[in-house]
Amino acid sequence: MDNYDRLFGNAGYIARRIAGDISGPTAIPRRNGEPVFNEPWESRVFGAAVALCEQGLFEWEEFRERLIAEIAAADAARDQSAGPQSSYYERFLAALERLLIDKGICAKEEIEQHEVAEPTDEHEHR
Amino acid sequence: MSDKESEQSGHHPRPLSAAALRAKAIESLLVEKGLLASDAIDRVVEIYEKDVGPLNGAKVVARAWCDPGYKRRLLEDGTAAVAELGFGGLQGAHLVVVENTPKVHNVVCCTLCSCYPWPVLGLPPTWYKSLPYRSRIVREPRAVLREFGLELPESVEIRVWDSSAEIRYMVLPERPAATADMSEAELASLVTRDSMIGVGRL
Repeated sequence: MDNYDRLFGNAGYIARRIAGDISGPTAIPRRNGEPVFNEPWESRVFGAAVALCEQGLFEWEEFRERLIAEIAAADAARDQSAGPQSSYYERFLAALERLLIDKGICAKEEIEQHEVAEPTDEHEHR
Repeated sequence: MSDKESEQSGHHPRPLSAAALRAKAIESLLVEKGLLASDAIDRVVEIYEKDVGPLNGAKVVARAWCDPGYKRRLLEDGTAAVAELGFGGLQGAHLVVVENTPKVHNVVCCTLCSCYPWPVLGLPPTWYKSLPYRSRIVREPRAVLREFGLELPESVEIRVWDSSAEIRYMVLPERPAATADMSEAELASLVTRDSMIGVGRL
């Protein structure tokens, strides 16, 4: 029962379910079969979504529905304009923000205030 | 994660993108609300980078545990057997799969460089490419494995496989006890990268 406890009770289980989603629009970017984060914030936002889900704040499916919607919206917008496309993790971030607001976990104003409140070095605040 | 620290406390920080600022704002808000611990994110990212990467190899292992015919083909001709699951691209090298048993433990290395079966295991971890691992695993495998937290009884024979441009090795770990009821997909979720390199067990 060791393996159940070790993997199914923690973030590994959710991360692996995400990893099992290897094709289609919500599949995470990979190179040589390996997950790819191009910027540090991408891994942070991914980690935050999984950790919150693990803590029971939402079901992964609730997040996934919003990710599908963000991707569809971004694809539709791309057809309209020639501007730069959003990346997978920009859509992922937008989906997480949408979900946090929909669930009443964070208010949009609070997020905006935090963005303004820490312009440079967050170590000062901690 | 230390990457994050160095990224943000560097002497010449790059200006953050709009998305990076937004992500930071959300993270700090969640931390402030007591909903999220920074180390919880670190832990998820580590699991994800370490264990979720080698997904293809995990599927191969789970299939071998469930299907004796597949397992036989895998041990006879690794390249052909992983191709059955759609995994190829070994750049002309041959994949050899070595099976762990209660009496034999296999571990893979590349003493000359960093040959690695990336179509099944993803990208090699940093330590795999390091000189200490490459030089010591052949000389004193039991001591090195102990440093990975793997204590093997003296009765277990350790075989070290040195990869090359022509041959890449992968370990077929032993199926964990008490997993008889699990589906192939559930079994695949148990398989770690380290177990397929042979520096860990399940």
